[in-house]
Amino acid sequence: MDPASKSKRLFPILLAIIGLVVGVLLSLIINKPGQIARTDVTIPGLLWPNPKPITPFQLIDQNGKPFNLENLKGQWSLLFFGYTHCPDVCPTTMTLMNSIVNELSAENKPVPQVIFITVDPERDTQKQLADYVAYFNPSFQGLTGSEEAIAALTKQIGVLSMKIPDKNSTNASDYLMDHSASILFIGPEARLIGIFSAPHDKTDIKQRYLAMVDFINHQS
Amino acid sequence: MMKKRLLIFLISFLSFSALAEQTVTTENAWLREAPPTVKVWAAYMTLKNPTDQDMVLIDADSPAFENLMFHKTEIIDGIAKMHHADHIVIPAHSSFEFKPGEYHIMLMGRKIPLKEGDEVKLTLIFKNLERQEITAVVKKSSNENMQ
Ligand SMILES: [Cu+2]
Repeated sequence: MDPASKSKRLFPILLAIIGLVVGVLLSLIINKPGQIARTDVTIPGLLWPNPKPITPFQLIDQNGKPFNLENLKGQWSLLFFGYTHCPDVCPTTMTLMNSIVNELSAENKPVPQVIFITVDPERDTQKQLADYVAYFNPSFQGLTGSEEAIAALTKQIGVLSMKIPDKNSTNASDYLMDHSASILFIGPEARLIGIFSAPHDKTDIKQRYLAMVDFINHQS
Repeated sequence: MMKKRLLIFLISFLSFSALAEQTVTTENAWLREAPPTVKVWAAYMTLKNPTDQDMVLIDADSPAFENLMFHKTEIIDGIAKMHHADHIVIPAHSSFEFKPGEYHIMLMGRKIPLKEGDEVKLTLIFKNLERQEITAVVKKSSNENMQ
């Protein structure tokens, strides 16, 4: 074998090695460290690449102040739809969200605003909501409005509710509400970014919330 | 003679201890404290049935509430629903648990103010007409007691 043919055979191998080194170096230069694995991110409940922009709505908070689309902008929000006469699912979820925000705050992580929106405006007055949300956490907000005003928000994000008369009661004000049990996650651009469906687990939701916050922060 | 006495003693002892165990017992009965304006509450507990027969809970009553019923929370396609349960079966040599997110005793129309630490009397009424007075404690819900 003469030296010329030997180097001919080595040349493609050398080229491949050079290509690999250049490729690795380039990828290190071009990508910031956090972005390398971002293309194949899968967080259960994350609505990507199609987050849903929220369109205008007009509700009233527990202090009687207007709450609209602007109040969702510039911060992370967790939304939960329920009613104060709900003794099982709603207090369980409110307690869970309280634990989550307390932990996030203690760990210096981004703390979302927590918003409870009634699906039962007939019984959930502003005063009733004020007492209700403050019981779980003084920073929680409670929203109400006319049925139409609430529907203007629930319809666009797929939240359902239905009034169920209580067959065992003669009192017309004793009724139950079937309602979505999911916690909705809205990003700072007022887009629905994720849905946490029930049954809820505190650690699981907290981890997915943080993963989603991190994911959104690395977009744009 | 001795033998006969011993036998009588044994039989009465055995039947007495059998009688003493012949009913459902409740453990960890509690009511979830709700905000002061909320009049609809929920109670949770574990019922144990050491007997050879299924026991059927058909009703419950409390002086602190107007109306009690058995409910099961179900989440169907993301929607939380509460279904009325006519009765609750506690199978023989087994137990039944009322717990958050599943079965609960729904207490409607709270008559008196209640807060954490208060004790509430409940009467459990079984199909065999047995009535049991139990005491449930008002607790704040936390993630610990909801597991
Ligand atoms: Cu119920």
